[in-house]
Amino acid sequence: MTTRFDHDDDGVVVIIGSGAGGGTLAHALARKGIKSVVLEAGKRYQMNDIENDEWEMFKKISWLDERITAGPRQLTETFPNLPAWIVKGVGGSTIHWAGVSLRFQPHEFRLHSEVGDIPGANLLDWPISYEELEPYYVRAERHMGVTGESTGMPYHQWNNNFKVLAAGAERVGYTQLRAGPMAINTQEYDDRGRCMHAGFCMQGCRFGAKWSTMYTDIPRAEATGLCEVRPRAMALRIEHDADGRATGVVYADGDGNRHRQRARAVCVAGNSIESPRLLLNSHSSLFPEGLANSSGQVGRNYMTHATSCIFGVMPKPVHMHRGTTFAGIISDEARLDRSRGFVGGYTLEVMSLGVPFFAKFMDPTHAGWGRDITTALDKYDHLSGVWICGEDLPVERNGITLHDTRRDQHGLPVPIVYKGDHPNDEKLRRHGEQQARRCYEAAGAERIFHVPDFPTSHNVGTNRMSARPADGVVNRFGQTHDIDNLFVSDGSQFTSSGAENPTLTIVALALRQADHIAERMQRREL
Amino acid sequence: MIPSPKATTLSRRRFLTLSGQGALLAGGLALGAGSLWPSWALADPDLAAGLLRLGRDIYPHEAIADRFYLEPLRPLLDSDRTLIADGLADLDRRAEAAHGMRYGEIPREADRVALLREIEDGDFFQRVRNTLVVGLYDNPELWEPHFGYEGASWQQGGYLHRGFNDLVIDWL
Repeated sequence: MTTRFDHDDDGVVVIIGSGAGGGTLAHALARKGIKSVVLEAGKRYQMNDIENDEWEMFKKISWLDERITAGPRQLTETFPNLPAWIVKGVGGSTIHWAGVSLRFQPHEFRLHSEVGDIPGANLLDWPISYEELEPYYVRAERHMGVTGESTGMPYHQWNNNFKVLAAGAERVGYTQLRAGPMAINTQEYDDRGRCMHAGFCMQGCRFGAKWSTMYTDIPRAEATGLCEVRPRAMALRIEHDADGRATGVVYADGDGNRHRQRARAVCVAGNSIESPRLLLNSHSSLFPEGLANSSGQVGRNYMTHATSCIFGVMPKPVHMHRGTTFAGIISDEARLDRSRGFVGGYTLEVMSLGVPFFAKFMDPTHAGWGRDITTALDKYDHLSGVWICGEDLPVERNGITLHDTRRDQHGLPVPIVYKGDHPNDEKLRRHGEQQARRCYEAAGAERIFHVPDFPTSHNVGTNRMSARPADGVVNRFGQTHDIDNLFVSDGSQFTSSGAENPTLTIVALALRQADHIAERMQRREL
Repeated sequence: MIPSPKATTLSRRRFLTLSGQGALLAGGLALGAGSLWPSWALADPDLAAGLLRLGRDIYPHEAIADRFYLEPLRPLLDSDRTLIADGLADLDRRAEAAHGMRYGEIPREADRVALLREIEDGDFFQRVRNTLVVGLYDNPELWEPHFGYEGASWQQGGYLHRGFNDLVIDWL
């Protein structure tokens, strides 16, 4: 547990971030005998830091460094400094994620080929196919403990919230209703206990039933003696030599002191805002537009999923807060079917919020007060909710840029997170809202209302994979096209968003990348 | 807390005028939600009464007692006293112009709400609202009794054996 690598040890892989990408990668590399130093900007939390309290946990673990929300969207008004709801801590956003573990569908890796050019969208096929990734999906599912075929763990029993949505969905004619796959144990698995249906999945799982690198990959990587995790270590810039190879990472420790960790290779896994930000901030005379940015695509094509929430007030108490937060999935609309008037599909995922967050998120606009709000809150225990997780098309303008003058506590330019809807996103969202309303009408809801976007936890696409170096930032293994020993290991690699929650695919890609890095090291190419 | 007789009189009079239920109260009904005020509010009755009326118009729940509105709003009188005092004075001016009486004296909720819609984009209104959206709804004392929200559950072993799937849909 106390392995320490020297700052001048250039035999280590430096991994920036300890979440689904970085945490998985560090562990997988350690299993192969490869040394790594993980630089994690956040603190280390213990299980007893995890509370069933929405605001306390929000304040404790969220990434709250200054960010600027921009673009023609409501979030710019309602959450001007919180475009994303993600975690700063050892374990990253795997502390907060809700456990939904859907694979991308085969056609989603080649959406561009399927639908052709769409004006205003920067569509591109992934340089890998579903078939190539499939074995890694199986490994990821076993690794994370995903209910279903790969582990043999049964799906969860339907909680009250899902029963309500499902009753309506079945009457609407939907048939693909499942309480899984989830990386939440339904029985003891991987030395972790079963889900107790406590709720509060997004505040961290107090029981450790939900997979998180916080209490799986990170401590296990450390236990090998081959991985050192440095909490409160904020990566400031990646350095390179005259040949353009990455040589190390300069970071600030918790006291603000600067250090340089030398590296054999560097893997960036800081989520889709920080990862491109770090590459852009690492500009040099050799790479004036930022590292790995010869394509100009670093920070572009930011995708969040096209989302919306619909809640229904039911005739009897539902107690949606009991049980897992995202307790069931409806996949009927996830298909590609252009007759609906849009490309891409969406997943309907039953969801709950506690009273504190429901009150905050129900209508965060200036006008969101009065009896419309309080009459819904008075029926809180009668509510059921569903979240729409839809394909969000890549748009070049959507992305992460650096503010000209504003600096954060480390002196780094503050990121501007710009996002607007493609017309396709709007059509998909409207369709999803209408279908969700139909479900709740069919379930006998007395009142149905829409809850607007809250800060997004699904952030992907800003260092995208491409076959050709001109079209994207990284190749099919997440290695940057421009720099041989620089990798991207998080969701920013995504070429498209799919209609599925991103974590399972991030983990599958990280496991695949670990194999690739190990093979190249064996061949002495790295 | 035993308020002084003088302060009680003040607060009660203010409450009668601010609540919009004056007519009902005059008709002999009990105060209902208007339980005893905290001492600071009795000491600062005008601002407290204005804030309370405003808070109850922003997030109206008849069954929730005054103190649950007043307690989270109290810190504003220290941190943002000028903003609050000026904001309430502005609201009173608007009320006088439109209805010939102070904001808190306007009997119809719809009339008060219409005035508030005019100022909802301002700092004063949003400061009060943003304070209350956390202060009122993040109060565990209200969760289960008022909203049916049970709060933290891990200490009781979650809901695995306590009703996570106990719903019988018998209304369809």
